[in-house]
Amino acid sequence: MPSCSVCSTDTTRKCPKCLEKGIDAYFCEPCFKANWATHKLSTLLTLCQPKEHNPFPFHTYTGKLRPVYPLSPKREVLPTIAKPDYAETGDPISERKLRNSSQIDVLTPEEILGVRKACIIGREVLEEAKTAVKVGVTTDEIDRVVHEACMARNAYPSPLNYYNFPKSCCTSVNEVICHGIPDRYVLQDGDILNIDISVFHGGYHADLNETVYVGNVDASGRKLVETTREALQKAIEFVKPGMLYRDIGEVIQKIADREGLSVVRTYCGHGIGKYFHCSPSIPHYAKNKAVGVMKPGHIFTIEPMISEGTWKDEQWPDRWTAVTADGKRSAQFEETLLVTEDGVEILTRF
Amino acid sequence: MEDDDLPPDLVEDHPPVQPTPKAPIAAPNIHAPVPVTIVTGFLGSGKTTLVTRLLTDTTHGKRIAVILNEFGDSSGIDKALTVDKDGEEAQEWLELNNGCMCCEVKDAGVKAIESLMKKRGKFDYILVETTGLADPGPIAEMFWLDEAVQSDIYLDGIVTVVDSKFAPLHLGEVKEDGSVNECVKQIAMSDRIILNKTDLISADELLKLEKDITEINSAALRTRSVKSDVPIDFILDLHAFDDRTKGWFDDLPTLAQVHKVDQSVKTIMFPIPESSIISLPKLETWLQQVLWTNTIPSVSVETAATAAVSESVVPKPQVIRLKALLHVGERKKLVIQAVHELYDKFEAGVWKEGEQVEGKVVLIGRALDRQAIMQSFLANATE
Repeated sequence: MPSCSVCSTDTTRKCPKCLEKGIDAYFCEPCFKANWATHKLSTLLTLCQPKEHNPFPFHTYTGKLRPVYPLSPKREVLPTIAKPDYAETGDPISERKLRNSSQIDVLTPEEILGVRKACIIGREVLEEAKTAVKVGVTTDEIDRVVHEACMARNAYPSPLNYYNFPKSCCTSVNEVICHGIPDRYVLQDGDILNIDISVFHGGYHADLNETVYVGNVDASGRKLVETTREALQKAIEFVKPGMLYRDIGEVIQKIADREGLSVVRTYCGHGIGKYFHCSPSIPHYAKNKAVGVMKPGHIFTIEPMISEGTWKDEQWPDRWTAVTADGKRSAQFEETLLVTEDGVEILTRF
Repeated sequence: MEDDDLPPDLVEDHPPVQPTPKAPIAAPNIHAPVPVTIVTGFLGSGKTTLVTRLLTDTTHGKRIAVILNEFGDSSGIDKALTVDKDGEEAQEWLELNNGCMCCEVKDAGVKAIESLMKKRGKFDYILVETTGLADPGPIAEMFWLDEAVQSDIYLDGIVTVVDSKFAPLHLGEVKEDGSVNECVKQIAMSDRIILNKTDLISADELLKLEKDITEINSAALRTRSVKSDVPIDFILDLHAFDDRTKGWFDDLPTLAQVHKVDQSVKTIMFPIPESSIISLPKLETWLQQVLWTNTIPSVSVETAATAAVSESVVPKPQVIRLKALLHVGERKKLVIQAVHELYDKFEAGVWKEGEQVEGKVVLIGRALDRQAIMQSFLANATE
């Protein structure tokens, strides 16, 4: 049952004028009569402003989390900041053209320097975002911090308008695996929150993420997060020239299996540099057919998503938010990596 | 005149009631993924006739969906045409999810088909009809998913319909960039080849065309037809990308194997001596080098030196399809399947007592030197 915009008692009645204008607000008789004068005049706007709501009320959610709309208006990017090709159109046309290519670029020293700079900025932005995390803060507020941290560093937040993604970072709470859209959700004590930061600076992208604790997280939540952190670390240690991309999944799967956790199979690590996402594709599960041998100069991400229950995922009707099919929690960590002559360098760590 | 000083009467506006979910059309069986067959062929070859025939044929009792891939690449999968058992036709646009596809394991097209099945109930079979000029390679790669993903669909095979009258023209076409032309690609990639419209050419022309096609792909089974009239079991349920592969190893013609190694696409086949047992790690390294770097691992240091000298004249080998049936010890069979750079391995039971242990490797591709590849394989992939 909808409720009155003023006093929150149940009502199914609306102001006819509001209805004409397509404004979605319910009122009870007493509040409406009492507020008519102001409603009619200047407060018409405030009273009729869309309330916080779940935009897909009839969707069957797998867990407790709901989207809290409306989203804040699109954040503006300073005109002086260089933008990727999709910034205006939403269509990353240059990387889309390469989709069928499994060719893995070996980056030149100049290109590596470019990605390195972007990666340092990415790390700084993530650290700043993490300081904003506390009980009572909205994920949209995290997004604001991220966006402004990018602006301050002359960087474009890569997610913004990438295939029309509406915000400047991804915030994924509890059962959200990845690609959560920052909204008016208020972080609760005990939540786990992943913040995924990608930035575009000097013509190069960087990509990293971390899962953080909001207040006091229970033991199983901590085990999930710490196992995922370890899985990424072990996968990174596996990287050196001559190793196969397909075997990264074996390393991650083994650690998840050991703890009775599961590895998400829908999303994978990816090449990065001039493009936000390119070859190679790096599944995080065992027994995959991924193509390619690691070579010095390859730059890519590893970003395992590990879940408490099933590995299966679904998507919210927003076409972005990936959630676990059983509503149990999922954690993720990600770094951007460079294959060196004798091993690996984590570009997104100081 | 309306008096704006008095509040108007509020009006009822009930929020929409959640519809009660409809019973699913068919009880989804999670254990039975649905086969996908890719149908290629040039414009006018009779591809659409073939697909329409399957859709409207009531004898097979299958609920078939046809996915039209109008732009010849995965992002173009956009329309689904289905005919139910009662002959009722339905067409709908597939909802392509515009998520960031590049970091997703499944292609948008695969997801679109999965969501179509969720919405409309499961099909028994899916045909992907490509545009005339499509290279079936990337489309096959997109549907050839890792088993771990447990998709609702799996790639069953590739069928190519050949326009017997115009194929000789298309086969000989030279691409400006020196790449393999689409007609040859479609033939090289296929598991079944339908020589259609044979009524439009003479017997001699047909024999010549069959010879040309066999030279490119002698592993696929062929049939002649008029108006795409072929038996349904010739093209469906082939299992051409798993261990139950039909056709390929059963009936390989013994080729005149001495041919010039040149830029044309050919099939080569070699048997594995009974005494040679395959080492899995060595086999994988061999496959990775051949499929991922387009080079043939050398037999020994000396030949490597000579190979380096002649490298400038010998074109790089390029594998389009590869299948192998191999003995990995204790009479155990291993099947290898490959399309371009992707390969997978399948345990495929054992050779029974009394059966001859008989491994073989089939490659279709460009600039394949049978002798060199065979020697390299036996030297590098066996224990």
